[in-house]
Amino acid sequence: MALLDVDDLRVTFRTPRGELQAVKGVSFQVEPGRCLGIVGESGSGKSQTMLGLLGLLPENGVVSGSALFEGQELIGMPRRTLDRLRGDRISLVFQDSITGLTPHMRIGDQLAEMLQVHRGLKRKDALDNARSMLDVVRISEPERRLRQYPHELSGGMRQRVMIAMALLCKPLLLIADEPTTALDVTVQATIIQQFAKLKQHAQTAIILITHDLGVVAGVCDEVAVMYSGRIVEHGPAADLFAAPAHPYTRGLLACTPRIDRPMDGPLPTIPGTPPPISQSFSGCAFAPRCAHADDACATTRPHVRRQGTLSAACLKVPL
Amino acid sequence: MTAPLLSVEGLHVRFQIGAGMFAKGRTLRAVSDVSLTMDGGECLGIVGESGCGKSTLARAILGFVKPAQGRVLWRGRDVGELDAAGLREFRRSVQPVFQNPLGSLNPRMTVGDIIAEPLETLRPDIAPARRRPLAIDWLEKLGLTADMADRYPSEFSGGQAQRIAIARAMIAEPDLLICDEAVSALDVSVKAQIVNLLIDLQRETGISILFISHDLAIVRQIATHVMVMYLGCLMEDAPAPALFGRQYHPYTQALLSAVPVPDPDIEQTRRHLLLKDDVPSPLDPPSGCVFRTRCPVAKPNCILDVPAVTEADDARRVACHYSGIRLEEVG
Repeated sequence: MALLDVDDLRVTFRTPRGELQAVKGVSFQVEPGRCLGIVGESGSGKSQTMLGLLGLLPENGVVSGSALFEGQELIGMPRRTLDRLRGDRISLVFQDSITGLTPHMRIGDQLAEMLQVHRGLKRKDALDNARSMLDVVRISEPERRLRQYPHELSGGMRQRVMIAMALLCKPLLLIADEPTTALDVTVQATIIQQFAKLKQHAQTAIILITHDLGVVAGVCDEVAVMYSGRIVEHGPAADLFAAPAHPYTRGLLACTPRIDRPMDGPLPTIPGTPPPISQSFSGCAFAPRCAHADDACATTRPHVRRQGTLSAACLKVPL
Repeated sequence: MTAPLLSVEGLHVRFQIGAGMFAKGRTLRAVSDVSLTMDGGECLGIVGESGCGKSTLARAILGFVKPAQGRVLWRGRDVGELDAAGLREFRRSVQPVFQNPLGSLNPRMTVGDIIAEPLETLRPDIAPARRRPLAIDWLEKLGLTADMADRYPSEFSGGQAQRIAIARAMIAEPDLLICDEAVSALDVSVKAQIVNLLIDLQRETGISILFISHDLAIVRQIATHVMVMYLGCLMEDAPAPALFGRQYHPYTQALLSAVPVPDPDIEQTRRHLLLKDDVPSPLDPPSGCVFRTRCPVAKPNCILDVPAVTEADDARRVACHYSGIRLEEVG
């Protein structure tokens, strides 16, 4: 049984201008010790998928479908049960680390509190644990950091504190939404390395949401590519990067410059822009930008086709 | 010999932070002793992490901040000493493009008016009746359509808005475009379009570009010359193929090594050169070499002596006591 089994998840927002479908039926599984990358551009629904299954949508958001965590249904779970699950067995790391930390509490108190509340540890033991966790995430002078306030740390350091906090309770599942996007590239490299260690040594399952294919390549075993609220391609990272099946994934990889390869003329591009959430399509959402699209693509919703280990929602697969 | 298009000589920019009636305040050294020259048709990429001073350098060149020391020369003339006519000509010649296109376009003006507006002050020689047709010309040159001239910025996507911002920058026919993280906020699929557009513009008009970005893979696509900055200081500077081919400064090596490659087979097996901690605060930069607190090969003299900028044979400048040392060899 998968640790997390998401089936036909949908997220809809009620707005004065009508209903907006941000996530239009997404399914995936995550196994212990594995990392799933969810890749997409703005408006693809990658963040809303996670907020939806964790009960963190704003007031006007409605989630439907199923998300089984260790066999327990998360969708519709009472708020208090869900709150206890988050932070204990499921941890979250967001892009913006400053909002995740309480400004008037010392780092040490915030970290220790996690263990006192969720694990019932004594304060002294909790602080000892917190200190060694700061070491794990490569923060220098952990003793001094425990006594500091969030504003006294740099952005990279705060993000590492957030990750330390996420790991303290040894979660079964870590969900990280653009965890390195606001960080410098040298700091990003160390954080991605920590994620890789975490899944190997602690068997933590990780869902990494990002727009950066390089970050995905660094740590993910599996990748789901989202476009306009749907997963358009899904499969093992090695195969998806080596020979993507969906025209969108192909385009995305082609237009990402690689620093390790000789340059070969101008960068390939995908014409147009990702559609806004408000736009709905009767056929394939990518068809207006796709070089392979024909009349059928514009009118028929593409079903999932297999190409080796990959599954792609495209009428033209295999290309 | 004619003067270079742009030269910056020993530029220092400092900011006073927290100074008040009772507080002495502290000095933030945003740019320390940076020199560079740019010739026509060149694209100089400036790379570095947050707080390295790359944006402040651009703002100092544009005249938005006053240097504490040093000079900016435009075609050999000190920009700080230009008269009104000279300054107007400089303003026409050097145009900025910023990161957030929707934030830099007036939401209450139509796109046509936004693009034509610079002509009013910068090109009084162009008759008012000619402004709108010119704006529409540029709209079309940048891959948009004439009918968009009557619409408002909020109706456009990020990529389209950045095209509008570039059209506005180009209409007065400048000689230098200063792009400060101009593609950083765009989606991956749109970023490549805008980079190619800038390369085409450069080929067609011969314009020079100062391209500031933290994204090294993108800089490699467009830049002919690359300068690496760290905490306000120049670390290394070379023609792009030389810099991406071999790095003499330990920081440049670590920076390039940290750039992830979109290939799991390579990315999950290769060795990364990982740096300790984060960039120190520019309010309290390390003594000696500013990089030494994170440098894997720093030695005692790096604490004491600021490394001089030295020139190597391939038109390269390096500021390191141990220029050319390989980080892998240290382990």
